Amino acid sequence: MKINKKTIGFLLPIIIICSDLLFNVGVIFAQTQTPEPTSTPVPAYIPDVLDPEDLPDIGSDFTCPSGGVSGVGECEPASLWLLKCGHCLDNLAPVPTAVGTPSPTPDPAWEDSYMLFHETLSKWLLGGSGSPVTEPEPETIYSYESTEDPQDEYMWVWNDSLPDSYTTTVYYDFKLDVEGYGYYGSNRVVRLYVKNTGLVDDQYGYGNGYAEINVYDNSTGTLSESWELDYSEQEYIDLWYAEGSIPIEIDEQLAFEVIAYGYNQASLADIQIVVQRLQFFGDPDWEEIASMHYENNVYYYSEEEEEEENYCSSVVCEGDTGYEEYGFGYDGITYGAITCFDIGPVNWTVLGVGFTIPWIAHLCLQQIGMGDLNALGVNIDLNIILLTMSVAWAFYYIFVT
Amino acid sequence: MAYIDFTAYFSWSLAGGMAIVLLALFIKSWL
Repeated sequence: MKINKKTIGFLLPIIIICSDLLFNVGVIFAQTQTPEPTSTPVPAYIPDVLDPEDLPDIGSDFTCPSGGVSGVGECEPASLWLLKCGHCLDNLAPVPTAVGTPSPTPDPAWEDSYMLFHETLSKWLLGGSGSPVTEPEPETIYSYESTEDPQDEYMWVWNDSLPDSYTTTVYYDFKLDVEGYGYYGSNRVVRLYVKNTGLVDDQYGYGNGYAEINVYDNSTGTLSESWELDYSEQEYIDLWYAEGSIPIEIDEQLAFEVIAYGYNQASLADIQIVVQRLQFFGDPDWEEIASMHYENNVYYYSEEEEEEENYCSSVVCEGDTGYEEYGFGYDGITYGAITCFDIGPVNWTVLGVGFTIPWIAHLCLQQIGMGDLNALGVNIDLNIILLTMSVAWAFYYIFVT
Repeated sequence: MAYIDFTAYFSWSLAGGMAIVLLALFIKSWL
């Protein structure tokens, strides 16, 4: 036979097919040797069709929660959730709308958008609420104002209780503003006592008191002295009480101002804050305190109405739906039985002469399947696809080309 | 003594597909 291109083209497929068939026959032979388990029952055929009754009741309300979807970024959302609630994620990463200009300085608007984008991106990646929590606007429900000249060194400035009807979170701000003029030198001391008598017998209530005495130089407006009272460490007591003093260096005819303020946060209504005393020490006493101004504001934050949770309130994770997801997926290659055979060792004895072939190889074949593609609940066997395409190509090649 | 230890993957569908393709090549070469 003349070896040419045509001969190679004829022989090569035959060789490949024969070798392939040899492998296949070997595998078949080996498989038939394996005893089939007799006790294993044949599993019942379960059609891969999603029963609508298996779907969870997701309701008909798909409005987005105002506080942002919870659970964003913690898992991959399920397909059904994305289908119904994907629009709730649109505001997470706004596209900067500022038009770029060829300017050496960055556009602040663009920077803001950029930072917002990064912020939301970080929230998305790290898992956050997704939207900033906005504090509700405080509403003033009580206001007290008085101006009187302090005649005594013991001044009961304010003593009142909140109405009982307010049970929401209450912030209580007080501010004491005393202006005066000092004469005759220096080393005056202002001493302030602040007492909170509310929250009695309430182990859950706490008062975060904060008072500050600021002494300003009225001629220049600068802060010359400052002193703080901090009650925040005194939680879970029925009475917080603090006092302190600050020396004020007052030169002649120099104005000063004492500002004390604080707040109290409580879950109960009965709050009582008393600015008990405001003492001025010095010798001689202040000759004149021009005015004292005290104002008091009570803020309360009404509790927001709890939003009814719907299907879009929190992300439903993929695999956590309780049913098989409609979508696209690939199960991956399936691995089947392993069939092994050895080449050697063989011992022959022919006419008293021994021949030995050593153990050359231990070869194994493991069956693999191409797996299934899942498309919208339909499983597509890639093995069938492969064979079908081969047949189709063969027909095309033989009869068309 | 050292010997060859080898595990190969074998796919019926791939082998079948290849066989069909080669068969087509074979048939075509005779036509």
